[in-house]
Amino acid sequence: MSQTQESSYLLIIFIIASVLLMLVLVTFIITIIYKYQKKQLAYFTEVGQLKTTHENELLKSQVEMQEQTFQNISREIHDNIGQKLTLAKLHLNTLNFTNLNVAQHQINNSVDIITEALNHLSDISRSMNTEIILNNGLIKALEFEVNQLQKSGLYKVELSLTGDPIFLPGETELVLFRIVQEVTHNIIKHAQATQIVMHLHYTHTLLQLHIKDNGKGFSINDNNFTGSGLKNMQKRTQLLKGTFNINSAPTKGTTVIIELPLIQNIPNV
Amino acid sequence: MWVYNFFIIFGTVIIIWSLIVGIKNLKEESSNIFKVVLSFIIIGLLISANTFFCKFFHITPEQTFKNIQRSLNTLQYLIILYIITLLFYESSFLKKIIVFLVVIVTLITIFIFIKTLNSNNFFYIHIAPIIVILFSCLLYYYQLFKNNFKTKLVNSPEFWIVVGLTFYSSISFPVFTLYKYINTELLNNNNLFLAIYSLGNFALIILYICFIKSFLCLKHKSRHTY
Repeated sequence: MSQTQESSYLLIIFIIASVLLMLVLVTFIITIIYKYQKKQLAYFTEVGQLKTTHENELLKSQVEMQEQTFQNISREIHDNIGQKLTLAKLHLNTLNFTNLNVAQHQINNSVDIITEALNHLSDISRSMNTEIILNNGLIKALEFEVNQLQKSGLYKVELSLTGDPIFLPGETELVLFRIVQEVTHNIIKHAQATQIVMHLHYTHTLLQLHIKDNGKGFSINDNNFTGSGLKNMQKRTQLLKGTFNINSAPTKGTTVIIELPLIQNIPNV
Repeated sequence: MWVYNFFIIFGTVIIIWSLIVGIKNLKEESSNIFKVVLSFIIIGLLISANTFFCKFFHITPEQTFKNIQRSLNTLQYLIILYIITLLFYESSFLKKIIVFLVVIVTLITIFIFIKTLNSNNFFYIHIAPIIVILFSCLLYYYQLFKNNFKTKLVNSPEFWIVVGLTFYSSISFPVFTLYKYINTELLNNNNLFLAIYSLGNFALIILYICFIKSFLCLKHKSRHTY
């Protein structure tokens, strides 16, 4: 083989080898892009499914909360406002027009009872109104709740705050407020407490809410006390990526601790 | 010979193009990596100018040309090594491995540079950095599949930098490891020698094209991330 032929032969081998190397590299890069996009598609499908599940859970929870709100309104109307109005009706039905002084007294009594019932109705309306909570924020809503409890004259209620408050999305604050309402409702219904302490603590990453009462408490292991109400509150807190814990023992009172991570609950962080 | 000349001229055009695209798309808030890539391109332009002055205009003497060339080449390798340390920002463990390798290879490169001053064995300087670059690129692809899949890959500027480095290191590796053989055995076969040497320049052209794509992606980066 002459030197020129050998040179051409080597040149051809070199060109073929170079072309093959290029093809291998191009195939490698295309494979990487293809596999990545395939995995990306699977990832986004999974994220979408998780989002849908979460939204469904949230919706379910909202429906449950709404149902509970209706029950509360119904109970309040029946137990409180209904009774007051019945009493007012009784006063008015038994008006004694022969003795105008007594009649005047009965009318005044009825007016007082009706005014009381109207005030109560207004408080219920404000307490249940989502708009008020969404517009004024969690802290104002809690202040209102504390005010309501104090008005009853049955409890000494304290609300304290530490750290720099951070406004959470309206939906999150609403769910959290409804949980607090359910906790206070449980205290009123079961705890036989005289004192309620609420403490909100904000850090850069966490919101901690402590609700403590000095009531009769209960055994955490007792199934009678860990019914669907507590599970619902736990589930709702989990939907907000938070935790819900109860510390209690008979005669030792009860402390509810709710912790919410702020990063996941603040939009665009 | 024409292949060699073609790659020199075509390569210079691509470098100028990448410099223009880079300056046009680089923003104040752009990551450091792109500013470093721009400095790599500027040095590439100086290498081209040096080649033009020596090979086409015959202004620079051969030895001066070689000395300037090896200094600028060494500088370019150090810049690439720095670029790859900036690519691994998500995994601290991988970053530690890469930084360790880069420090070692940087020392080796500087050592070889000093050792081979005024000798013809300068090609050794390419081997260690190219191996580390190739290894880093593979680690980058590994990291890509380990992390979340939020980035739109074909529009990711960092990805195109790595693609360019993968092409450059994969093509250059056989060229520079066989350089001694090429230099001694094929010295009488000038066409083949220049063709093989041109392959290294071709790899550089692909690298600069990938840099152009990377800078173009930078323009719309915010729009293409989920």
